Order: sequence, then structure tokens, then C-alpha cells
Amino acid sequence: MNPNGARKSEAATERLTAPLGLTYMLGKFTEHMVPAVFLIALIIGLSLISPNFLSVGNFLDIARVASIIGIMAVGMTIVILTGGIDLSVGSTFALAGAVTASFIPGSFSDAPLVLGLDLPVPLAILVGLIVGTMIGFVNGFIIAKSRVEPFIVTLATMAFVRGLTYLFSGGFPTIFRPMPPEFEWVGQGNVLGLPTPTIFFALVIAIGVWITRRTTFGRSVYAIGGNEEASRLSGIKVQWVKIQAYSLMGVLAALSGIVLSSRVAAAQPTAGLTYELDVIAGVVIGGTSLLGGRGSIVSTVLGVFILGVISNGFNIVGLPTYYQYVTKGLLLIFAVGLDAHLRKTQRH
Amino acid sequence: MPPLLEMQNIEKTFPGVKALQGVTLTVGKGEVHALLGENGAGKSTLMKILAGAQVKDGGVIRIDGKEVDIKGPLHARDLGVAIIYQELSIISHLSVAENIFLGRLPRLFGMPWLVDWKCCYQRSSELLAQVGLDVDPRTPASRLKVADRQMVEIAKAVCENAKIVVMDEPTTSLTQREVETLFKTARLLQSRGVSIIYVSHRLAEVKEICDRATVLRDGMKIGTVEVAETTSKDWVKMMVGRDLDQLFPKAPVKRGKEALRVDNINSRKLKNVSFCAYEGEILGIAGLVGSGRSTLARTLFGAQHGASGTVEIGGIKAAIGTPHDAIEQGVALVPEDRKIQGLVLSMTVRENITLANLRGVSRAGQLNLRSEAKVADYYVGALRIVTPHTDQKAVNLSGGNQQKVVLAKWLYSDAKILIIDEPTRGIDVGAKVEIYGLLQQLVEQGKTIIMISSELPELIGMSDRIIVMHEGRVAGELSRDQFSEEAIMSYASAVTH
Amino acid sequence: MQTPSERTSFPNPAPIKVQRIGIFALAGHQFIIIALIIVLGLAIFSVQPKFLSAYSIDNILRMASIYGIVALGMTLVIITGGIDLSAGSMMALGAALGAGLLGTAFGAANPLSFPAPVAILIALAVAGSVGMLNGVAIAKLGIAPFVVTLGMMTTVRGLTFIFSDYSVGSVPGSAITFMDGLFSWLGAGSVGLIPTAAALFLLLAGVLAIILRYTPLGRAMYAIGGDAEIARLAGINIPAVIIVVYGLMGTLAALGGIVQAGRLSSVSPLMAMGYELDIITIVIVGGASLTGGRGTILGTVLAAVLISMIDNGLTIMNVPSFYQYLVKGSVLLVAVILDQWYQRQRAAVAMA
Repeated sequence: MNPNGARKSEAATERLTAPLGLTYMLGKFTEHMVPAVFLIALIIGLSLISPNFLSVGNFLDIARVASIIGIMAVGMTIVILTGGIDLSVGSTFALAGAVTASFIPGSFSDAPLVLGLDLPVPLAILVGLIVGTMIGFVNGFIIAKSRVEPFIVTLATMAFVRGLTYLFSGGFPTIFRPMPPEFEWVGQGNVLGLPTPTIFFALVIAIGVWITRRTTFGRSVYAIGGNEEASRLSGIKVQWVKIQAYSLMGVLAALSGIVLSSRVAAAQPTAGLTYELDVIAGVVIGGTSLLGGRGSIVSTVLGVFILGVISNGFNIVGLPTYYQYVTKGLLLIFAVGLDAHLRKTQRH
Repeated sequence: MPPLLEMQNIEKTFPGVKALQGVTLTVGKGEVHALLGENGAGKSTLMKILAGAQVKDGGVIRIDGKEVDIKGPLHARDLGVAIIYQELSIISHLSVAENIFLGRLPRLFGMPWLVDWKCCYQRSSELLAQVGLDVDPRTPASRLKVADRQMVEIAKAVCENAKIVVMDEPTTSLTQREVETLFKTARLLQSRGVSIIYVSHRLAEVKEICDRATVLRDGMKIGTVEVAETTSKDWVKMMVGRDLDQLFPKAPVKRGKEALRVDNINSRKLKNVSFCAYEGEILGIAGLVGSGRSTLARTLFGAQHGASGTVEIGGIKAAIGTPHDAIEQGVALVPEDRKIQGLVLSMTVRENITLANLRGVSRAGQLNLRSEAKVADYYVGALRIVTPHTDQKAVNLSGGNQQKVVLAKWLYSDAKILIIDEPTRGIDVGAKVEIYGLLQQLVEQGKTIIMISSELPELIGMSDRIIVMHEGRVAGELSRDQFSEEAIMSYASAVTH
Repeated sequence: MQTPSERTSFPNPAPIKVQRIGIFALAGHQFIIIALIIVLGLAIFSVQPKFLSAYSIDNILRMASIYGIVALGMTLVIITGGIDLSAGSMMALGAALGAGLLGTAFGAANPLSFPAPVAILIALAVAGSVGMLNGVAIAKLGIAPFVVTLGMMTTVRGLTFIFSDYSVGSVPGSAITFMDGLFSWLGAGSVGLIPTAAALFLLLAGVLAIILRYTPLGRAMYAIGGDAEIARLAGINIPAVIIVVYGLMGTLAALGGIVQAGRLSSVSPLMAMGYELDIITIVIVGGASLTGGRGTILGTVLAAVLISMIDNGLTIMNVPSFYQYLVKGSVLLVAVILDQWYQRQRAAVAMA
């Protein structure tokens, strides 16, 4: 059977090729409709409540804050698509930030373990990224090779890596006296009017979309999440794909941590605490299923922005932080519930 | 006295498909009534309606002469209908006793708040004795074999004082001995006035245990007959609607050189398995459930570990440690259970077809979606897969078309040796013929097919040679002129020659 | 096809030996935890003899009890195949409500003032209701427990802050400090030789163990966790059970928070942040499975003691607190991998 021959089947299959355009697009559109509509409704609502909301400066603020969570959310999407989860991202975030900061010239800390060694800024960043990748690799390795659930494995590494962070930093923050301009650019710079964290986020999104839609790795991720056994029996190297997914998550968590430490000009050992929940919330609100096999980077971006808009909007409106907590929590439940309900009715 | 169960003119329509049209079924008290038909004939739908898992669109159901409107599974149970599904309804972590009394645990001193375990275990022991299962009721169900779990379900039905017990393809995973035990239990139930509806497509079993049979085809009732008075030819005519020799498009193919040589495979389940297969041939593998056929297939494919021995492909020694290795060496495995092992149901037809050969539609790790679409379109046309477009999710296809998608996947992997485990399980007759035709085409192209099947007619109709397995070893080999059901069964049960 | 020979008796496979299953059946897993407790206890003692002093043991028991009471509720949740990430927030809410409603806190600003038992009951009722809301969202609306309780975690934390500020004027986010006999007795007092908290913990453990083993409600929890669809077809009222389970979780979390409040005579709205992960660790180490259908009260009780022992041991050996994270993470991993290995052994034996 050779697909490159057989002209006569082409006529019969003409109506099959058209959908590469239309049905595909239509499918993707409806998939993202709920979070998109939600986001638009939020924006409209908040603009009506407060005139300060609808300004370029404010949107840039939203983007800058959302980028930190967003970079990690892209990695988390891929992990969740394989049917797994990573609770250790907050800890990796902190450790990578601390490690990179310690190697930046001009950094200062009371910690005994922080070496006086200085590396050129790009190299220091690279070291941090490598640390993140290694943590991700360990997560992926244990999850792939043992049968322990990802929730538990990453729960354990979360504690472990947080401990390492405290160990490394001695519990002290690393500050900069002064911060070299190259590193300052990473978190506080501007490119064409956009804050650099947002540029990084945009790049990560682009790479994420490319990976999930156009690479064999991405296809394997969806397959494993959809049916791991069938994927294995189809020759997919399940263990290796999982290891790569968690390693990617690790490097993105590290990147985000490094960007933040540049932004706030300090690397705190408590950085990233509870961030994993914001990241997962963003992914889930966007519509990706925790069971795996269903979801996309685009929906995660929508979810992250929904959360970002909520936080920002409420700050502008002057709602005290606590009320924000209450509303954010309820909105998460509401958004996911709505999505689940629509999915159920769609099935018929 | 009215019959125990009357289902009259039952109608059921699903979107796009008329599952049942005017089907009538009558079962008397204490009767074992077979419900026969190929897959897709409507047997499952009819029984699901009886069990309250589906709602009928038209028709009347009467139990003991009284008309009933079955609202749901619980209501059906209350009316005395117990159904034992193929995928058993047993919760593994709970004990046997608790499974029997699930949802209805006996209470202490009539208090609704406390469970009377002593009473529960005692009554369970009695019920288990009645169905002939000698197991401590406190045993966790996970420790039981499939056949024993089935017995637990029957005990559950007895416990609920079921008037009608529906057994849906009960013998699929049972060994010969276990089947006999099942029959013994069925006769016991019968003697106590319980009616049994025995859903199956296995004629031999029906002939042994059933009094009457109703045959369905394409959603309609073809006829109801007395089992003892029906000949084989009548059966086939009713079930298949065509003559048997039209079913298998087998034409002789010139045998090529040796494609696969297997020497002394030994593992926990397999003992000294050796055989060879040639280009252009269909090698059938027969054997009872548990004889090691699927284990052998999975071992050769690298899906199961722990075996020693050598495998040569095309004369060269092959090292197959994972399915990935197998595919690289040109070996494919079309698994037994297409939904769990063969397809990613959440992905589209197109994505499933290319899954075993992503390299074919990609370059340096990047997918070429356009060529993937072309590949998918080609196979949908070539295999006549019924789907509105290739972006349809695999879960929405019928059983036969799903199997074709799995086959398409392996055809695209360009395998030279295809191991197919139960090629037509759960597929309607029309699709079966198409698949047999496909297999014939493949061997005409010089490929090698190793076909594992529990359907003797299929093996006899399509194979060039058959090897029969028994308890992990190769019990015998038959060439085409030696084929017969008796010959195969005698090897399969290790009757000495 | 062979014709079956006519037999008058049934085939007779050998009966499978099963241990007597009582309330406190000791499965192999629990032996491992007991062994670990003994081994680790002696190891730490050899390094620092003060570890087995009365004061230290008292500390361990109190801490184990606070975590343990909440872990009891989490055990029920995990048995049904769910999870509750809002446990820590519920602890804080319960504590804040209990302490705040006393009306006698330092700088109290709210007009409400109730006697301690009433304040506690109100706190438990409110937390229980919030828990039941979790249950409703999960069972009736079909939203994944992870998501519902994640949202509730944030919501409840916010409510805690709001109430805390309402009850104690001054600086937003400040703690509620108070002094109350009942609270102190619960958190810092003793009944005879054992801490009240421990007695309460064991009492609750006993009650829940009975519920799990001897009531239809408890058995339904295992059934639902094992296979919800089969349980449904058997007539089990799943939404009712789920709502009760999450309601109990809320109440027990609040109780744990109240005991902690009593111990410190102070409630910070930030308290118990992140505790849910410790509590889930305890339940998993105790032998429950996240997929549901398995878990025992005894396992949870033992695990609570073990984890608390490790925490206190590290503190008493003057190990810097951040090492505790390292140790906790490792303990969890080791416990789970050991359990996996153990399960595999048992499966292999059963198949033979």
C-alpha cells in the first residue's frame, strides 16, 4: 500500500482535505470560545467600572505580571497534557533565581555558601537554567521509571528543592550592589515599548505553540495523555517524552525565577511559594484537562490573562486583597464548572 | 401462564443509525434463551434497554404479564433483571462478600447505621456455595481470576432474587474448564426457575446450553428457533445472511522466503516456543484463552519483557526490547483491544493513522501537516473507512471502522510482519469481509501475517498454516489440508494423539 | 467441542487464606510505619537523649494530633478518590472564627461575643458548611476536586482575612490574641497524662474507624473510590456521601485549627498556609492511594506520629529548619516507593 501512488482515490477524497482549513479552525475556535468570551466579558466589565482600567500603561502592567506566571504555565501545559502535573515549579523558580543571582557580578548575600565567584551575566543565567533543567530531569526520570504518581513525586521534590534553596542561600536573600545593566535588562528592560518579561513570555508562547502543534514531540505528548498504553504500543518512546516534558518545565520555571529576581532586584529563598497553584489555575481555567490529552497553549494563555486581569482589575477598583482572594477562588470554580457543563451538553 | 419476559416491537434509534427495528423477544420462566447475532446486530442495545442502561424509543416490555416502564438500572434490578456485563462490575479492593452485597449490606439489629459483617459473610458463603465457588468471602476481589469474579456476579444476581439473568458474552476470557463450570451454574439457576438470556455469537456454546435462540441481524429480528432442531447451515444463514464460502476471500499465494524465525522463547508463561513464518503467508495461531498466544505476540513485539530465546527477521538476528525496536525492524502488532491498546480515542483519525510512523510525515522532528492529511486521506479511501472527514475524533467511529484505522496505522508503518490479535473481534459482518480482503491483499504483496484468533472458522478460512498453543507451548502444527475444527481443538486441549 | 462430563460436585479450588479483618487489621504497610517509628526514634535518641524526654514526647503528640485531626478528614476524602487543597485555609478559618467570636480578644472590635463552646461550635458549623459546598460543586456540578478545592483554598483564605480584620480592629492582617480556658485546655492542656489534643485525636480516630468499617456510609466511601460508576449502579447515593465527606473534612480541619489556636493562644490569618501538602503527605505515607478506594485510619494515625516525630526530632537536634524540607521530601518519596514495591510483591504472590 503506497500512499504516493493511487491517483484514483484522490477524487473520492477531495472533500476530506478541505477541512485542514475550515473544520480545524472551527474546532479550535469553539475550543477556546469559553475562556475567550470570559476574558472579553471581564475586560468590558472592568472598563465600565473604572476608567483607569482601559489604558495602555495598565495593560502593560497586566502583561508584565502575567508573564512571570505565564512562562511557567506554558511548561505546565505540556506536563499536564501528558497526564501529569508538577508541584515543584515554585521551588525550582526560587533555586534557579538564587543560583543565578549568586553568580551575577555585584551580588551580595549573608549566606556562607554563596560563592564569591562571578560569571558573565549570560553564563550566570545559563547556570540557573541548567539547574532548572536538572530538577525537571530528575522529576521526569522518577515519574517515567517508577509508577509513583506525578502529584506525589513532585510534592516530594517541591519540599526537597525548597530545602536546597534554603541550604544554598542560608535563608538569606541575595541582593545586588549594584545590579549590572545586562541583568537589569532581563527583568526591567524594554524592547519596542514592551517590558522584557513580556517579550520572553511571547517567545515562550511561540515556541510552545510550535512544539505542541508542529513537532513529533508535541504529537507524542497529546498521544500519551490521551492513551499512554496505546502510544507505547505504537512505538512512542513514552519514558523519554515524559522526561523531556518535565525537563522543559524545569527550564521554564528557572527562566521565570531568574526574570523575577532581576525584576525585584533580589533573589528570595521564599520566592515562588504557592506559585504552582497560580500556574495550575491558569492552565485549568484555560480549559486544559487535568486528565491529559486535551488542551492547548493558547487556552493556557487565555487562562493566565484571565487571572492577571482579575488581579489587576481588582487592584484598580480598590478592592482589598482579601476580597480578591475570595473572588479569584470563586471565579476559578465558576470558570471550570461552566466549561465542564458546556462540554457535557456539547457531547449531544 | 404468561411468559416471564416479553419485549415487543422494541425500537431504538441513535443519531444516524437505526439500532433496533421492531424487535420482539419472549423468554419463559426457567428458560435459557440465546440472543445471537454478529456484532452491530443490536444484541447489546436490546439488553441495555432491558437492564435500564438505555431508554427505548418505542415498543412494550412486560415482566410476568405486567407492562413495565424501566426507568433506570436500579429500577431494572428491583424488577428482577440482573445483567452481567462483559467488563465485570466488580470493585477490586473490596471483599467478595462486599461486592455481592454492594449497596445492600445487611444491617445490625435492623439499625440502618451499622453493618452486620457476620451475617454478610455467612450469607455470602451460602451464595458462593450455591454457584460453586469455593472462596473465603473475605477475600479481596482483586485476588480472584476473571472466571471467579464472574461467579461472584452471578452470586450477586442470585442474592438479588433476580428473575432474569442476562449474561453478555460471558465466555470471552474463560478457559474450557471455567466455561464448563459456568454452564453448570447456569443449569442450576435454571432449575430454580431463573431465566437466563445468553448473549453470544459462539454457536457451539449456544448449542450446548440454550433451549431456544433469537437471532438478530442489522437491528432486526431474523427468527426465533428451538436450538435442538436447527442445523449449522440454518444458523449461518440466519446470522450472516450469506453463504460461508463468500465470507473468506482466500486465494493461494506463492510462499516466499523465511521472514521470521523464532527459537526457544522461554518466559514465565511461554515454554520453548519455536516456529517460523514466510513471506506471503498467513500463519494462524490457535489456542484456548490463557494458552499464551497474546503473550507470545506481545513478547515478539517487545511489549512484554522477561523472555529469553532468539528471533531472526529475514535471516538476521533481531534484538527487540521495546515496541519502538519492533517497529524499526518492520514488525507490527495490531492489539487485541483496540480501544485500550490500539487507538488514542481522543485524537483524530488522521493523528491515529500516522502515530506509528511520525517520521514518515515529519522532517527533523517537525510535522508536515499537509502530507499527513494526504496520507490519512489515502488510507481512508483505500480501506473504505467510514468517517465524515479525517479530523473526526476516533471515539466517534464504529467498531469496524476503528479497527480499520488501527490497521491503517500499521500499514503506514510499512511493517513487513504483521501480528494481528483477534482481527475481527466486535466487528459486523460487512466490515469483516473487507478486512479479510485486506489481509489477502497484504500477503499478495509479500508481507507476512501472523493471525491470532479464537474464531475457528476465521482461522480455517484464512490461514495457510495453523500452529496451536496449549499452556505456553506449541502443541501442534497443521497445514491447510489438515484443517478442521476437531483437529485444532484436540491440539488446543492437549488430547494426546 | 468436548462434551462436559456429568459431575455431581463442583470443582474445588483450594480456599485462599485471608487474615481476619477487624477494625484495626494490621496490614504489612502499617508494620513498616511502626518499624520506622521505632528505628527513627531510637536513632534520634542516640544522637540527642532529650528527644525522649517528657517535654519532647508531649510536643510530638500535640503536633501529631493537630495535623492528625485534619488528616483524618483528608483520609476520608482521599478514600473517595478526591482531594482537598483547602484544608489549610479551613484550619485558619476555623481558628479565626473560634477565637474572633469569643469577643474577648485583645483589641476586639466586633460586637459579637459568645462563650467558648458556642464560638467553637459556630466555627465548626461554618467550616463544615463550606466543606459541604465543596462537596456540592464536586458531586453535583461535576468539577474536579483539585480545581474546586484549589479555588476554595483562596476564597476561604480571603474570608479568613476579612473576618479576622472584622473581629480585631488595629492593623489589617494582625493576629487575634486571646486567652480562654477551653481553648487552652484543648491546645495546651492534658487529660491525666496525655495531652487533651491527643485524647481528642484518638477519640475521633476511633469514631471514624468505626464509621469506615462498620457503617454503610463508610463502606460507600470505599466503593465510590474504587469505582464510582459501579457504586452508582449499585444504588449508592454518591452525591450524599461526597457532600458528607467534604463537610466532615471542613469540620475536622476547623477543629485542628482551633486546637492549634488554643496551643498558641493566638490566631494569625496566615496560619496553616501550606499545611494541606503536609497533611496529604501524612495520608499517603499512611497507605492511602490518590486514586481512591484504599486507606486506613490506623495508617493515618501512625503516619501522623511518624511525621511529627521527624519534625520534632530535627528541631531538637538543632538541625536548621530548611533541612526539614529536604527530609520531608525524602520521607514521602521513600514511603511511596516502598509501598509500590510492597504492592508489586503482593500482586506477584497472588498471581502465582
